[in-house]
Formats: sequence, C-alpha cells, structure tokens
Amino acid sequence: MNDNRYCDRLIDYYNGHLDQKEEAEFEKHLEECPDCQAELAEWKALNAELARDTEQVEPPRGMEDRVLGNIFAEDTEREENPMDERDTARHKNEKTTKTGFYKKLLIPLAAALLLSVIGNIYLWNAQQQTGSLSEALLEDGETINLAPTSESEDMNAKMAMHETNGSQTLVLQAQNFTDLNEGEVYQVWLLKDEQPYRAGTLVPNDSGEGYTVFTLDDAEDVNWDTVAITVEPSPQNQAPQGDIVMSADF
Amino acid sequence: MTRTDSELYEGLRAGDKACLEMLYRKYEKLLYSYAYKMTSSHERSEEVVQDVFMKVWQKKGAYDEAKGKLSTWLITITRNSAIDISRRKKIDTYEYDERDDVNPDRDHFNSPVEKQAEHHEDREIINEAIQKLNEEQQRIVTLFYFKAYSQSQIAEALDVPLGTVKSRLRLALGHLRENMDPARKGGTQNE
Repeated sequence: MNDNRYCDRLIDYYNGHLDQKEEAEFEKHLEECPDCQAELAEWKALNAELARDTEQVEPPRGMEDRVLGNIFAEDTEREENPMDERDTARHKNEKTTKTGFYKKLLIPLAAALLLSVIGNIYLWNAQQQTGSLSEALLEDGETINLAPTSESEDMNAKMAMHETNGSQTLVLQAQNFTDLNEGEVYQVWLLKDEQPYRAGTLVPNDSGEGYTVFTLDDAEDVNWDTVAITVEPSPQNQAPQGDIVMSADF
Repeated sequence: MTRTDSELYEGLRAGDKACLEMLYRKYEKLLYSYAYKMTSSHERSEEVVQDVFMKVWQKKGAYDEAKGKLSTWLITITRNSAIDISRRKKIDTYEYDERDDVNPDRDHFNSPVEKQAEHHEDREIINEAIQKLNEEQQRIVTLFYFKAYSQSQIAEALDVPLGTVKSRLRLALGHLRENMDPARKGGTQNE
C-alpha cells in the first residue's frame, strides 16, 4: 500500500521527530511500502558514506576503558537483575545508564577542577577513576560529613569547599541516595542566616552514588553556616521546597 | 590475525568480550568522529559511543547481515543515539548546570583536540562531493543529515514550501550520490 500521507513522514521518521504513536503507525506503513523502504535504505547507505568521510576527531584519553568498563559493569548488574529487552525498530527512548553518564560527566569536571584548584596534572594522568578524582578533591579540602535526618539514616554524604581566585567551589560525594520518585532530584543548598543558595543538582546512579561539583560565581565572600540536601520535585527550583534529607553546620 | 566484522559479531553474540573489545577498537574513532559531527560536543560524543556499544552488546541479535554491512548498521545506531542524546540534553538542561559552571577551564586540559575540532566545526563542507553541490543543496544535506531537522524545520530554514522539501532533498542527494560515486571507484575504505 502506497499512501502518500505516510510517505511524507519519512523525513520526520528518519530524523526522530515522530511521537511514539506516529512512529508505530509509520512503521506499519513502512513494512508495506517498498518505496519508503528503498528510500530509507538509500539514506542510510549514503549517510554511512558521509560518516566515513567525516573529519577524524581523536577520542579523549581513557575513553575505551571507561566505555567498555561501563558496558561490562552494566552486564553484571543485568545478570543479577534482568531488564526487559524492548526491541525498538528505530531506537527510541532507550536510556543510557546513569552510571555511565555520571562517570563521563564527572571526569571533565573533576579534571578541570584539578587543574584550576590543585594545579597538579599528575593526578589527571594517574587517576582516571571518577571516584579517585572526587576523593582527591575531597581530601584536598576540609571535609564535612553531612548528617542524615531520621528518614534517611543509610545515606552518606561528605563535602569540601575549595577557594580559588575569589570564587568558591563545592565538591560533594554521596552514597545510598536511593529514595527518589519519578521526576524528583536531590538538590544541594548552602545557607547563610537561613537564606538558601542553590549549589547544584545531584543525580545519583543506580547504586545511589553521586557527585556534584559546583562553582559559586557571585558568592565569593560568604561564610556559609549550613549545607543541606533536599529532595525537590523539580531541578529548576531556585528555593528549596522539598524535605531536607541531610545537613551539616560549618 | 585480524577477524572480519562478521566473525567479531558472531563472537560477541556468543558472549565473547574480547570480540566486543576488538570491534570497539576498530570503530571507536570513526563513530566518535561522526558523533562529534552530529553533536559538536566531546562529552555527548563519548556518551553516544558508549550507548552504541552498550546496545551492540546487550541486544546481541539485532544485526542482520542480509541487511548490509556491520559498519553501516553501527553508523545508523550512532546517528539515532546522537539524535536522542542531543534532544534529551536540550530538554533536561539541568543536568548540565554544574558542568557549564566549570566549562571555561575545560579547554586547558583538552586543548589540542578542542582546537582542532573547533577549526573543523567551522567548515560547513565535509567533503568534496558536498562542495560540488549548490548552496541550497549543501544546506539541505547538512540540515537533513547532520542537524536531523524535521521536514517543517527544513522548510522554514530554507524558506521553501513544506511540500517541496522532499523533492529538493531527493535532488540534492541524487547529485551528492553522483558526485561521490566516481571517487569511490576502486573500492571503499574501512572494509
């Protein structure tokens, strides 16, 4: 069946602009439309040639270890806790693991910070593990352990403040942060005379571990009196609304 | 002792990690470079490559040799992953707050790659075949393939009626194909 209404959606299908329902409808059409099949195959083939001709960019150092390490680590988790395998015809809505995301995110962060704060490039070369880098950052400053409120007794978090060129950077490491509902985030706050200042969002991985590194641009001279972590319904909150799960006084 | 892509894929289907590692090493740079072309971000490119090989490893039966080369399939997955990850990042920008705050320092530890990439990013034209197209055709190819625009976004960007986008695209891709084929005589690379 060759229905033009559907054929006209091929571009939006290929470029991922259809919602789930439209995509399912289109895929049904695709099965029956040799024209669309042929055109899609041609697009993919031509794209592969363009991709092979793309300017070569050197992958960052240590990427292979990180990527393969994350894949095989995920593998172990999956064996323990098998997930459903949705076989999607295009690719949609597949989550990358938080673990991978976090490791990946933290390395450039931590590396940048190491250079600016500690100025010791050897650490970057020697320690590619996120945990170690974060540990190093924490060890370098005065660490404060946060105390849990009653409902969150298993949680652990420690933080340190670094000061460079008049700006403060907060490094915080968390463990057993597992109690989030859909859409909620952990938010870190610094307080002075009960006035809160937003100091970063914490997105823990599947094991409840997370790190945040946050630079406070316009608060260089403040002597904070409290640090607190709350559960917030939205990461965009500029003032805390949710419950405090952990806190500490400076 | 190099193994073909098919042998590597068979091996990883059987759970052989070494085969995944070999496949990774063979395609890391190609897929990373392509992901970078799509996302203009080193962080996202690494995330994309990880996503691709995660899928390859976890959905071990998804590739069908009858449908074409393994590398073409990998490139298609890379493209889809780059689209998803780029769009997700645009929506969930909060995930990047903290990183953005330290961004000014990033270039210092990554400068050779970063500089090189910036230089390349300025080049709208990725190869001679595209260069030979007229300006509108070059734009439509870029918007369609590398920006993954929707039909209506392309129409708007080029200021042409929605209904003419597909025919313009076909024309541009037809010319591109013609421009590419002479250069390809004597075999393709990578395989």
